[in-house]
Amino acid sequence: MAVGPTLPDTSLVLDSNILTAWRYQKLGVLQAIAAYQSRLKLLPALTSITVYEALYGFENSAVKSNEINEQTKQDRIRTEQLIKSCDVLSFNQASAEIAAYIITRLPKNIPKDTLLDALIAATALAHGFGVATRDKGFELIGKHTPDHLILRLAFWSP
Amino acid sequence: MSTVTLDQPIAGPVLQGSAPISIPLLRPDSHPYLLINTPGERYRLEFPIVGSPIIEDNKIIARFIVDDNVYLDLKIVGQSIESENKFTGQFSLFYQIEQRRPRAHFVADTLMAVIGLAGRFDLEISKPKVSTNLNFELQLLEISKMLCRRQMSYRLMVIEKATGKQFLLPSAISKSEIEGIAFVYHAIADRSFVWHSGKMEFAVPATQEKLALLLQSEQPFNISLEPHSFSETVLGESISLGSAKIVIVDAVLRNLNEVRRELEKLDGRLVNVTIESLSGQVRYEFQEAPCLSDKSWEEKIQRLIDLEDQLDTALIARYHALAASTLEGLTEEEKAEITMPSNIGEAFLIDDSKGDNN
Repeated sequence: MAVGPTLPDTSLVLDSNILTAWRYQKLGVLQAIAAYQSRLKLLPALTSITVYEALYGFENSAVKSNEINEQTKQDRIRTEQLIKSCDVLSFNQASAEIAAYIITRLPKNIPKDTLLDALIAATALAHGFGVATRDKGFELIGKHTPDHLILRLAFWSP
Repeated sequence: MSTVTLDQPIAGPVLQGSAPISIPLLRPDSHPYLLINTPGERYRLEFPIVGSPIIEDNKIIARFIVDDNVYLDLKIVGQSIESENKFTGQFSLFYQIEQRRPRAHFVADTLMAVIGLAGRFDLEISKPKVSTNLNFELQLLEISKMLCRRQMSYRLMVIEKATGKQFLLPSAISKSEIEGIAFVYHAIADRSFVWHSGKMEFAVPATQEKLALLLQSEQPFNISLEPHSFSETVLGESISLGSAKIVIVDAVLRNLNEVRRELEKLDGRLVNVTIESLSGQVRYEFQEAPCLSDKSWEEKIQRLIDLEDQLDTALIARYHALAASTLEGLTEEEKAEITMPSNIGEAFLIDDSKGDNN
């Protein structure tokens, strides 16, 4: 039940807000990803929860407007290419066990986004990864991890 | 609770030609060369054929030598059109390593990454004198995995050079073996570094000095341990790293009451202490680890080492461009809509009527 800093060799997953900032080409995130790649050679991974969040926007837009324009279709294809170009960590049984431990111990009045963040954190912990995020809510999640697990966090500013 | 991590295979990809190619009919005396442009077209790498190409009705196979132990095999499957004096078909290119030494993997993965980022290589034939581009597309993830294997091979080359040991890479490698290689590399190349750590157990004598040291500090605290000898196993070889100073950052005593009780006896007996870093950080300072007395490499290898920044820059530019393209051509409103956070969290919301759980 602890939060720790990322170390030079710590593998990271991108939180959804960092993935979005990357797609918006926010300078701070572009630089942080480049520095990470320069150390570890791989790009930061995604979790299957982040993939869900990235595709949710396209599906939600399609459902709302009943049709989707050609440009948005192309952008969805490229989003899928981007996902395919990253390692994606699955929400497996170990992730589920960690998530159950964390979520039941979180305060009940947390922002709703924290629950999805907890699933991302649980996936990262299960695979031995840290999380790159701009959301301080992860510190709260880190206070409720199982005893032997340290949630390593890198706070990246867009 | 456990996580199963599959060993990562150490094998190069096959580059497949995505479009039909057409080359002049090769003859046994054609002497083809493979030509590869490095990122930014700074210089060209040339690789001659080994022997003569194997020419059959529907395929051509040519082996090019890249380095000791390393070959690139070009295979073109298709058909010859005698009337036009040409061969058309699909190609594939893959590397072969005869002895799985780190240098061989370093060279092979560097070149395949260069080719992958360029998206093409050239085939030059002396007779008849012709140069042909062979184009293909390689997944970015595949290229970044090559750079990752390249880094591991380079680290092994450094360890070999500093220790005089020689390694052979297995066909697959576990995450813990990769971490072991990184740890020894940092000990040799950086000497001082912070590493992740769980619990540490050791014994201290029950003396006034140790009692004061361990029990009068407010937890968590940073604690230096007396230097002791380290060795680490790399691919089955034990590497002695000599004595190291260790500082456990954000340390807490896990068995505090038991340690207090035993140390307060002041009878000099050894007491088992379990210390854990709350933030999982331990600083190592290796003063006696093997050194790289000669930091120079053979010119050919040095040129490939020097490509690192160019390879990283080229790869990251491709990734950034791909990320940007996912919102291309959309209005600000459309962008906001498709990047809107999902509200699935509402399904998890717990009735707060009984108060805060905190």
